Amino acid sequence: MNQLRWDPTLREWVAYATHRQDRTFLPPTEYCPLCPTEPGGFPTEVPREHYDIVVFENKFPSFAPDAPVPDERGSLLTPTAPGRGICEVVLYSDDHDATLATLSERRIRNLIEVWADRYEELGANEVVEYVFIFENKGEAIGVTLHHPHGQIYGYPFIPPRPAKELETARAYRAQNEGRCLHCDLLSQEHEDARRLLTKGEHFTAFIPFYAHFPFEAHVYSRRCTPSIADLEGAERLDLASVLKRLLVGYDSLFGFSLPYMMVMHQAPTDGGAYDGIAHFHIEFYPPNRTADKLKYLAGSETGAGAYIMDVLPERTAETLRGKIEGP
Amino acid sequence: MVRCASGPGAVDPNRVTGAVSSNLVMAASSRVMVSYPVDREDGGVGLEKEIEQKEDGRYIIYYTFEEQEEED
Repeated sequence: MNQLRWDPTLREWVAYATHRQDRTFLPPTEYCPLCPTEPGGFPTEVPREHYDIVVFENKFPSFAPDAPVPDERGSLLTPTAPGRGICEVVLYSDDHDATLATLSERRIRNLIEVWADRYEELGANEVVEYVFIFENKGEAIGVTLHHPHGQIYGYPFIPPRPAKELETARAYRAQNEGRCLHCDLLSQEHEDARRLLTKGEHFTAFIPFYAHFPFEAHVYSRRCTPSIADLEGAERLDLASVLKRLLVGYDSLFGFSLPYMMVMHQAPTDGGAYDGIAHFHIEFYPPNRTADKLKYLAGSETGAGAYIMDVLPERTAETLRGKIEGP
Repeated sequence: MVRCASGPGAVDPNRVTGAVSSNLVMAASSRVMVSYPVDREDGGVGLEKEIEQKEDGRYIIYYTFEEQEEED
């Protein structure tokens, strides 16, 4: 069952996918459904003995292509709608023990090619208004499968957080002689330099002035480009290099493979005009504030939407920067 | 019909028709639905993309890259 219910108090959709209660939960390695299928062995999601990078439709999707009109009709105030959309799983490698951080730069670059291809293909579908590429890593984030993988949601609407960001960027552009909000933020970070983490020729990683998590990192394209699909070859190479350095730094931070949420913000695929408004970037939200303490989204964050931080971004950037090798 | 009352026009049930992934699923009559190389002229990589249909109807896409990795 996939259905949407409208929250008129926040003016946003909530997606219900009750079948996800039954999804596979932390299986033993020998029964990993994302590993290749061994001859005569346990049949996994991938019926081949080896693979480079694989994408498939999620078996337990939050949005489904054929979701029917809900039996629950709601009301004029609280309407419902079919939870139609596309949910894909992206397998980074057939090596069960790999992580994005341990992949070679070349494989990360190949993964960028796949992400770009999925953005274009899903975005071309008339129902998909926003292609959201993301990864949840680590049990602290609620991951149920350890095999290195990410996900892609093809939403039938522009989700609230990107929508707010786009709305803000559009207003900023209108009030500032056509300037891009993200370009100006990036210029400010370059000029200040205290929160910079690593720089490539085309991408910069930094902890934003207003970070919501202690070690939150943003990776911005220096060129004002709306989506990952608009990146040129040299930019894709550089993005792979910057991501590799950042991720290895993350894993060096506390001496273990750091959990995180990784999300990509880019132009919606609803047919609107987003040049100079959507600026492709990747955001990482690691939950750890120390090696053994997590930043929880508690009363103020969840109930009021107001984040309370107990460490300054300048301090965490200095710490993380010390763990990152290279420029 | 579901009526959208207070502004959630981004999802119009009347506009949502059929399978979202019809571009992939409708071509599933053969085992290998699509296989084509993508060569980027600006320094990108070449890849082969094969789309198959799983037994339960879902699609699976294999991306294979021309360049062999030196190491992972």
